[in-house]
Amino acid sequence: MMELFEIEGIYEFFKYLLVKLGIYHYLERILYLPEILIYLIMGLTLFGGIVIIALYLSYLERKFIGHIQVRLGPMRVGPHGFLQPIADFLKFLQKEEIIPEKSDKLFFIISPLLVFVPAFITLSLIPLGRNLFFTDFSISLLLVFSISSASVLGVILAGWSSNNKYSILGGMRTAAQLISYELPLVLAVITVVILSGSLNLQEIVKAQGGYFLSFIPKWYIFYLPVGPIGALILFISSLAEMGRTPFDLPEAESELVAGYNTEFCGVMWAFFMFSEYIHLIVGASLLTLLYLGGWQGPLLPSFIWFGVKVIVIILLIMWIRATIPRVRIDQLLSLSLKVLLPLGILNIFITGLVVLWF
Amino acid sequence: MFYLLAIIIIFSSLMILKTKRVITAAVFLALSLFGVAGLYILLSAYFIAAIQLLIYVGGVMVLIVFGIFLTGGEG
Repeated sequence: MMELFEIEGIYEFFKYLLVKLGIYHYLERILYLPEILIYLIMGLTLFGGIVIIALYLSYLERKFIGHIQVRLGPMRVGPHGFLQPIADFLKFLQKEEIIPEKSDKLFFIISPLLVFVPAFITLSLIPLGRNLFFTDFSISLLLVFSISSASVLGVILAGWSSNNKYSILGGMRTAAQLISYELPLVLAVITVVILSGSLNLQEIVKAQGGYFLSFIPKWYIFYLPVGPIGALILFISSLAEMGRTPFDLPEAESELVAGYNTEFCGVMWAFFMFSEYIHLIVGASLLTLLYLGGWQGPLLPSFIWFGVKVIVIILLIMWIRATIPRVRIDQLLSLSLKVLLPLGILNIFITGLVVLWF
Repeated sequence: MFYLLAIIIIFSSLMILKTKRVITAAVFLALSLFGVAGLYILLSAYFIAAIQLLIYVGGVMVLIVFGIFLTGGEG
């Protein structure tokens, strides 16, 4: 049993499993077959995991916000509404796919995938524990941002192809928001890259091991004065990147119906919902990995520490959603360009001085 | 793998010229830029591949699509 914890990476885990089952030997006769099979299994594992986690995050969100607002949330399906997400998922699957008559059919159909696939790839780059990761690239941090920036194209195309004025307004707004908040987000990340000297998420987390004065963990949020400011910038701008309250202008239901995904229904809408929850998970786990020490922590196994930190941040984001009203679009853009961007540049400058002198 | 990427790049570059609609051409441009990023990965230049995606697909393409929407016309 102990050797299971020694295996590095999920790829190696499945390989070990195939070898133990005695199948690997037969598969090896055909070139690349075991590799392709293992990657296929990994992809399906990640996909199934995402679907289940996204559905239960929606349940958690409805329950949590319900209890904050002194109501019960979903209660009918199963004990305390525990099977509600399953019922929702079945509802998505059996709904009719309505494609508007004057829409651009091809782009209307591929745009949910253009949003979902980049989100899916970014999630596969996140290390979940000391030895629990899907991929381990040397530049995984940079790759997360470069791939997630590709989903902006899908959002604009979704808004444009549905041929609806609310959709196109929502799509334009979303694109403007995502582009303008990418700058402070990346500036806050560069602070960590300067401090750790690496673009690999695993290396960044490993650099945060150990303690100051033997009780304060060496997480980057405790690196005064740059750590807390960087973490705050990262938190605010990843809230905007995820499109969560108070920056949920992409789907401001009182003014835009539902934003860029107004015309979508059934499985295509489910893809948008899944990618929204994946953005939530990726944003929370980036904050955890970069500033809160990732899977570092005493006693408990590494992936439990990672899970606990991510869940705490997700609950914080849901708490914000339940309490704070939405900002206006001009306030949103001026916050990004007038406050967060100069603060981020100043932060990088101070970080450079700190690294240079100490 | 190289030939697959090369076929994707050449096909999408030709389609940029052949299509009538500007927006379709823009999407094919994005596809060919993705293919070029794939070529960089084959050369094991991961950093350049990531920067290619970040700048061209994330930045330049979005700018082009914005330009197409805001200028009106056929689309």
